[in-house]
Amino acid sequence: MPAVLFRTDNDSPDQWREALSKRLPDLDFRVWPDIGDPEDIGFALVWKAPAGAYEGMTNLKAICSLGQGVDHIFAEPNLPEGAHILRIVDPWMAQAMAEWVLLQVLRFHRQGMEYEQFEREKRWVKLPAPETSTRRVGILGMGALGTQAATTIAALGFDVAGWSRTRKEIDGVRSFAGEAEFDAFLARTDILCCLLPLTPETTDLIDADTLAKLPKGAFVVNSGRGAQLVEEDLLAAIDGGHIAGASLDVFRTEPLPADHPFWEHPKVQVWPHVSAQTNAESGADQVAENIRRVFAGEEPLNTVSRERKY
Amino acid sequence: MSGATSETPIVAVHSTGDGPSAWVAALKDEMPGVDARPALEIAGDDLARVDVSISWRLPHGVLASFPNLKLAQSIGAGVDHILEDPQRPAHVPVARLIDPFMAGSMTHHIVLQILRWHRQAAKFERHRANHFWPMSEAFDHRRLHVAILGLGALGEHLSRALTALEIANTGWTRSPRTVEGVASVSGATALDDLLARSNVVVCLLPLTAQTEGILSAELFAKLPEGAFLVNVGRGGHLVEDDLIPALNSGRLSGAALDVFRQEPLPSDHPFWDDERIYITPHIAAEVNPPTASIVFAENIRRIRAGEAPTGLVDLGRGY
Repeated sequence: MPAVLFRTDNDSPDQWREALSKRLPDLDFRVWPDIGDPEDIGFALVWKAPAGAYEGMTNLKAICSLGQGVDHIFAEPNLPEGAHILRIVDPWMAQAMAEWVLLQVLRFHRQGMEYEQFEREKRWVKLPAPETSTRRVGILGMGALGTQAATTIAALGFDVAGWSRTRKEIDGVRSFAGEAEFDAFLARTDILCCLLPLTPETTDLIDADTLAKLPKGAFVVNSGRGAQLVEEDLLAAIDGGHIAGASLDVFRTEPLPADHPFWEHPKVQVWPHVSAQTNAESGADQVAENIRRVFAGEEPLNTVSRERKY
Repeated sequence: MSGATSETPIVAVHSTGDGPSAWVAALKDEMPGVDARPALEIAGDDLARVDVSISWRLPHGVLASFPNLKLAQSIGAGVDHILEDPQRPAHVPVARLIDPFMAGSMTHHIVLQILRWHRQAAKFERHRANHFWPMSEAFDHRRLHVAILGLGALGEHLSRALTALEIANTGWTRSPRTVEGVASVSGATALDDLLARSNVVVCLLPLTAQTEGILSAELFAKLPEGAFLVNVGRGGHLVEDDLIPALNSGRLSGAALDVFRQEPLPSDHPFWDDERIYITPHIAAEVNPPTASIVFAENIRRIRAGEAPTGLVDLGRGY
């Protein structure tokens, strides 16, 4: 059996080795940098590997992202041509993401920013109760993650719409599609939640122009990719009073640099990319199955189009 | 008042906080022609015309001044403030408010507290204060099991929402009660078993002589290490002196409290200084005059037609 490369700074190799070995007893699991002969590697399991990571891996059949995003794989200038590009579509990851987005929506909706401040100041202050049925949540990106977030939030009584490239028929969620309906989607959105994949089209999508089209007092949640948000435009919109605040889990540079203005901003909540991490135990079934398929010459699951890049 | 004659029955309204005027106005919107007045302004012959009282924390003795009272309706899910009145006419039915708006508000508050704890918002807030970016972590909701103490309209609403979020939950009631589609147990022994397998406890009980002080060191000891407490019932459910020791021992890892023995919470209360305790100022389920008035109008109609009101309280049990 060819070897499996494991390369990430984010996850523990031990958990993955254990979870995959249970399913593939013959697994030859090699953790970067101790990978032996690069020609032994047939399958790569990676997250944000640096440029040139696949050099010499002439027998590489597939590259699998350790998360839902694959933009870090397409950033490789010498991507081996014949290799399948795979992602993990972990149902529990969609659940974890929906839960994190719901937490941000509820925190803003329930005036959490204000009540947390009152609590620090030991002040007993009641604000007028928020009205749920008129709070409009907008989900940017209606793939597996966006769809689950939208239905979860709608189940709690919010008015939810989704925006995607093509129209999506989902019960209880109004669909806006394509560039033509983007402005109308923004105009009806009080809480904007970005769950888009990173592509050339979605890079810098949330800029001053987009933010200005949201109603005054709107809130921004980003757990898509950092490069989709123009960070200085968000700060300007918050400081100018048009945007009420933001909860962000992804940033243009991660880890967020120590001197970044987001850290200290009272209206920006910084999360260290923990909205939906792949859990080795729940992702391992799929990865093991794909390793088996790739080495048996079968078509793998959850392949990513090299053209569309998602 | 148009349409009101000396025979027209009067609805007596009382509320603390902003006072009764918003409630009187909302009730008149919902029920044109109703003779609704602030309870404390009713005097003389008019006292005998009052057939319904709609109140929050009406001063004791006022109910007894209405000789023809047919319903004491609470502005809120709790009726302890009515039952505590020693001069309350024992034969008068008491009704709690069951308003879907309130249930939605309560559920949002509780889900927010559970998710803040599950996703370790307080820890990440500390990291943020230190500009610290930790190693990545996965959070698995399958580790959660929520014990919902009290399975009235609010508990049932919460249970259904948690189930929709795929968060395991079980309701508990003192005496047996079955709610379709909701897992529940009842009685003292079942409570011990439930606590042993729950890492979140939500108190939505009514305050009665039997439930007063139920959130105590004895109850906490039955939970697994590191459990989380949400109290949105009444301040009297929690033995406040038992909470900080349970946090210090690690039995509890956090608490979100919306109700207190004394409200507003005194500024020198030790809860304010404890970062493991998240304090909100009794805002979990705000009563909302327009939606609550729909319920009140229906109950006024029912009482005047000789029918049973919604939310009727079993006076023997106190809820």
